[in-house]
Amino acid sequence: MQYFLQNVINGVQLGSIYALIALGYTMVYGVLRLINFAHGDVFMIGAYVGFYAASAMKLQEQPTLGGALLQLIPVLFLAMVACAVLGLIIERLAYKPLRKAPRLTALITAIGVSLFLENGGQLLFGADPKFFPSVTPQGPKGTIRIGELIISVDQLVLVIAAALLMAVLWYIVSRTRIGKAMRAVSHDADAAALMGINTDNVISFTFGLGAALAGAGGVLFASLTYAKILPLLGVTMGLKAFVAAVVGGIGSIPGAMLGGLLMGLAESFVKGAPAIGPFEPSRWTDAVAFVLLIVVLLVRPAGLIGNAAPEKV
Amino acid sequence: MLSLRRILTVSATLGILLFLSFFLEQRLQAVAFRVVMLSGIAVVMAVSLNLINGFTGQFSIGHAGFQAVGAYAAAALTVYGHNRIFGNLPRSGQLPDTLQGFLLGAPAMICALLAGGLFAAVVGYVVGLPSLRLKGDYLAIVTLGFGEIIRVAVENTEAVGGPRGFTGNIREGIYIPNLTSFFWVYLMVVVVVVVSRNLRFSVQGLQYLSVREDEIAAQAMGVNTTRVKVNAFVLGAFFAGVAGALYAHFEQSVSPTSFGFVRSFDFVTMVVLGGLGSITGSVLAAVVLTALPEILRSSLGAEFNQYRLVAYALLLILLMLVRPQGIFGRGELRLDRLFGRKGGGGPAGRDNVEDQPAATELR
Amino acid sequence: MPVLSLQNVTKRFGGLVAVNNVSLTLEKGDLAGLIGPNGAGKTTIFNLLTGVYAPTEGSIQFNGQEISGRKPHQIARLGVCRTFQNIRLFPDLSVLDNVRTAASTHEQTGLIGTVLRTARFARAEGEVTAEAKRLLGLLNLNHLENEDARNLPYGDQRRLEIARALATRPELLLLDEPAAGMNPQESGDLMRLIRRLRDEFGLTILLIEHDMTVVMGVCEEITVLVYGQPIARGTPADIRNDPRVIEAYLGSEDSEAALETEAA
Repeated sequence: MQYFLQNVINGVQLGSIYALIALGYTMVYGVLRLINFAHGDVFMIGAYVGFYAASAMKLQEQPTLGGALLQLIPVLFLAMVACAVLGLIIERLAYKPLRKAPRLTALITAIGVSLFLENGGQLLFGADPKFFPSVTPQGPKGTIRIGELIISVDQLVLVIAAALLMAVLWYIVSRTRIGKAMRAVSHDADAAALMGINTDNVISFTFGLGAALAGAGGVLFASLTYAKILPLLGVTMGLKAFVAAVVGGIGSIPGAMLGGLLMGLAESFVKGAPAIGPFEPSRWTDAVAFVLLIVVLLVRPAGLIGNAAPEKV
Repeated sequence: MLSLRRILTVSATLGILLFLSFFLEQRLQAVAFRVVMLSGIAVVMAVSLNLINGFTGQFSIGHAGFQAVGAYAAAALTVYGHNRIFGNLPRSGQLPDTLQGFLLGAPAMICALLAGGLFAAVVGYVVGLPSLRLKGDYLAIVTLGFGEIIRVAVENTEAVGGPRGFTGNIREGIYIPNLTSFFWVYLMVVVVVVVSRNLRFSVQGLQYLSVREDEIAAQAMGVNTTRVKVNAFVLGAFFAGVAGALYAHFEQSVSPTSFGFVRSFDFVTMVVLGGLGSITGSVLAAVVLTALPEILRSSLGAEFNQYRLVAYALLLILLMLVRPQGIFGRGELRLDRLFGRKGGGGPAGRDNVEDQPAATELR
Repeated sequence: MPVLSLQNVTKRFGGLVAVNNVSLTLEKGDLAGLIGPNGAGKTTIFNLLTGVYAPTEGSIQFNGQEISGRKPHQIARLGVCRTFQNIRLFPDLSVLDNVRTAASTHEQTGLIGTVLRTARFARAEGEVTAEAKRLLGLLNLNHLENEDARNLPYGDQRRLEIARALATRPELLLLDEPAAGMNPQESGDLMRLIRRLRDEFGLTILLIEHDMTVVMGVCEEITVLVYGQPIARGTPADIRNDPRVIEAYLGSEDSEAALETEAA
């Protein structure tokens, strides 16, 4: 039981990060029908911005959680703004001229942008890993024990922060004017334009919003899981998050959250599974995402929450 | 079918390839020869992917996975089959660059090519099945996923070295032989190009194109779109597997990281840059995209080398923005047109493209 | 034995009943029309006949053979072919290749034969091309054979769809609004063409059409569909005077157009 719950906790932690990234994929796909392959690299840039901001502000380990949050929030905000700007630039320069081009062309461009960010990142940040300074209280003060179960404060903060960000997103999409416009464009871009919605602005806003979430994900991931920050950090994380978005039903915001969470849980359980004879499930962790993907798509071709309209003949 | 002309063409092709094989291997610098070989293998990959993406319009972005299957299957055959079948090959895997060495290796090479191709074709069949239910981006992400599953599976197979990669059966001291000569690479280039061309300019090929154009209309006209799509996947995967066998016996080592999805993207890029559906375009783009980074590497100094990949990425974005239909458009590039236009002084490019179906060339 | 026989065919999409308990028979050589207001389920019937959808209930027999539930390409190969309301050509293929694609589906050269260019392949290839050219000639499209289908004017695209359908050698031809977007001159030619195809090819033809001049002028028997249900059936003269039909059309957006064209 304890083992089970521990896996759930790890899974939710990882899943929150996947969900944050997946939201950007799903929103951009919703308005543009484009797989923005560069999105995972925006996540990576977010982690780096966070790292450099933390270094510049000389962040240190704080004795209390409140103090830690006070230090982390400006860093998080900075990374979100930086990534939003980056997202807007990418959209304006690389994708906007291709609105009418074949889908495959836009996809190749997205791959090009992704390669550019990765290789530019190698150049700018160097190939050796960076580590985010530890900010939250460590040791006994940094863990919560519930019986046998150990939850670190880091995990708790990460999951709550991710949940708050998603709540803000939900509010924007469902309760604001621009959110309504986003939904309209996603439903039918041409009709939305006829109704007087400036689709270009909506698309730009969507890119910015998605990139900001990815940036936040990057900072949370780097600061609270102590992962290595590398220029290729966004490659696998981005790919798995995209798969999560597809599993949930691409274009659907709750789908991305559900898919991310599911992906995190599945990976955490496989990673934590004991060996069965010579078979070690943990070594197959990287394949879990894709097996899940194929199974889900074969059963529900439009993802878990998603409906593909049949083609009109 | 077995006309005299055909026999002559085939013999002449084999002769020229054999001659070039020894000539180039001796005359070219090691670096240049390597570029020639890798370009040839990339051509096989790009042209075979074009069968799936360009002809039938299916959206496959996991082609390197098929290459991985072919590479590992072929390498495993020549290494683990050494004692029983290929005992006459040196255990070190180093065959001499002579006619004798070539003849010694030929049977093993043929077996390796077939094994690589057939294994990959079986996997291609399995990957092709979802294409019956999924379309566009969904299919793309599934093919990509299959590629990644193959990579993880290879990493977990100790018999082929797991994550460390595979160079041979180290315990018994048997290594992957260097069977891949210029002859085999370019023979396969010729085969894949001829197969593609014969398919493209035939009524059977029209059925493939009709699936790309409008699947529902194609079905209504009696085209078995299921079979066409699966055929395209199987055929494309077969040649990717062949390319894998060539690659494994050229490098004499294979590693799971050589066939990741980043590599798959390279092949998709080649096909799109060459113009979707265009065979000549795929060939040219494969050569350029393989040779260019190597040339940049050797011509630029060490300090520029780090900018190489950034420049490559920028070039890719720029090309897509300027010529989204591919450098040469979607038709076939024809030499006679190119030369015929010289006098006219018209700009090279779109006008040189052959848009019409070739007159059915019957022999 | 009738060429086509629908018995109590119903198609539901969720709660919507698109086609409700329709029965219909066509004998060899019939030239029949299917009319009704927009959304009456006419195109859905075509989609059921060609295997795009399977009926929820009922049976569809072609030459005595049950075809409901079969795949579209199997039905096409049995001899049921169609055109589309919203033209679905192969836009980037040439006019000739559009027709050759459809003509190729009875030739079983196979992948191996094609790749090796066997003698059998060459013969089949020649036959397919000759047949395609003959059909283009019949529809006065031969001068356009090398043009990409997407570049054709609207009326030519409609006729190319008919040529392509004929290339599958159908026994039953389904035409979905063949006169849509045509001027009176073109639709007059189309009517002559439809009769000629029926006579020369021995075809059975079922057509959906909103242009009443065409329907009344060419069809020998007309079925009127409203809300997925047939409400009347008979000769053009019967239909014109049937009070139920007039009622069904009144108030619908087609009524004015229908009455206008009839008056013309």
